[in-house]
Amino acid sequence: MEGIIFSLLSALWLGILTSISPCPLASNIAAVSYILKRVDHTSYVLTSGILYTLGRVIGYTGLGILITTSLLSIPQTSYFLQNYMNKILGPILIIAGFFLLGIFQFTFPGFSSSDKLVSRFKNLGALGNVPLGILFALSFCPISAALFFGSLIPLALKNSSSIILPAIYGIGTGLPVLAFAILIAMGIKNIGKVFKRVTLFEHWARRVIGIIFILVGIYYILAHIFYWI
Amino acid sequence: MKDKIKVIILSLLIFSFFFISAVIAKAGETGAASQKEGSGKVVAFYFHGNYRCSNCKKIEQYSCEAIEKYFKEQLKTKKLVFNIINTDFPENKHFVEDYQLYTRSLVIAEFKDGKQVKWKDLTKVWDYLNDRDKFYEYVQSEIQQYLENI
Repeated sequence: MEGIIFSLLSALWLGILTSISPCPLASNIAAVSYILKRVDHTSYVLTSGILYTLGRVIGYTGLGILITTSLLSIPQTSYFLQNYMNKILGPILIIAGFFLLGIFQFTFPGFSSSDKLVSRFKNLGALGNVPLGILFALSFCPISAALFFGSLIPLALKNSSSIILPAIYGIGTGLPVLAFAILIAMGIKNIGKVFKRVTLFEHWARRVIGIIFILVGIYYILAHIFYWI
Repeated sequence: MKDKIKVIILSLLIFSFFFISAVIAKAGETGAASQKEGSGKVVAFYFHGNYRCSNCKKIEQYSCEAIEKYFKEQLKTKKLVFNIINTDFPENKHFVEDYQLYTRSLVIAEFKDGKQVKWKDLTKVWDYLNDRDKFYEYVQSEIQQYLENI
């Protein structure tokens, strides 16, 4: 029993170590900014933080299953994800930033903007945190690869735990963003007092988030495509 | 008179033949001996990619410093060789499978008669990144163990 608890705590600690290492800092900034999209809604911010962490859990658990069942080789998977995910992350973040800024707009052929489907789709905004979490989880950098492939996977294999331990690790990696979401949700009333004109705040917050996404995207392109950083 | 000259020339040729043969044999012997002595060596590899994170640079720097500090003599005699390799270059991609690499790594390998006998990935370099002395100590003791076998 003690061994299981120790393994669970180790997995959580490895996740926390991953989240506070310098490499994923840029993606954490983007994630935090994204959950602030509708800062006036406590439930939206909390749900966003939970869904982002869920995305990370899905990413690591899926990968954990594929590796512990020997469907994927550790060296090939690690190098593939490190080389290619970070390369596509930059352009994706820039495009997402353009959407947030309103430069690009979602259009659905056959539906007018007043259609219920379109407005419902827009309201699903918080769900966007799930793919964001998956994408950021799979964008490995050298230190997160060392912690996941070098420490967590051997721990999961030793305990024959291809789901639980990677999932706990995923929760650990999402903790800083989740903690930030809880703090923001707790302080929303105060924010509301400061920004009485919430609609105006949202209008500007969306633009700031868009710019943050574009800047983080540019960072990824410079670091992982041009190797300038 | 002519016969005497012929005998002298022949004697000189025979002497030269044996002398040169002896020198070549001696040289061969020395070569074989030095080959025997120098047949074992340890190679330390630092593997990196095109993207160089701050921690990756730190591992490379500390590894380089530790090796130069503790193994100056072995580096001079080529008992120890330190190679820095970019695994993103096509010709180096095989190292990823050869040493089961999953991130930036310091690997030591023992070679005997040109063949690799064993290797070890020094994974704890990541654990000692914030403690330079422990990092040096770890690298030094691991390489020392390998050098003792050759």
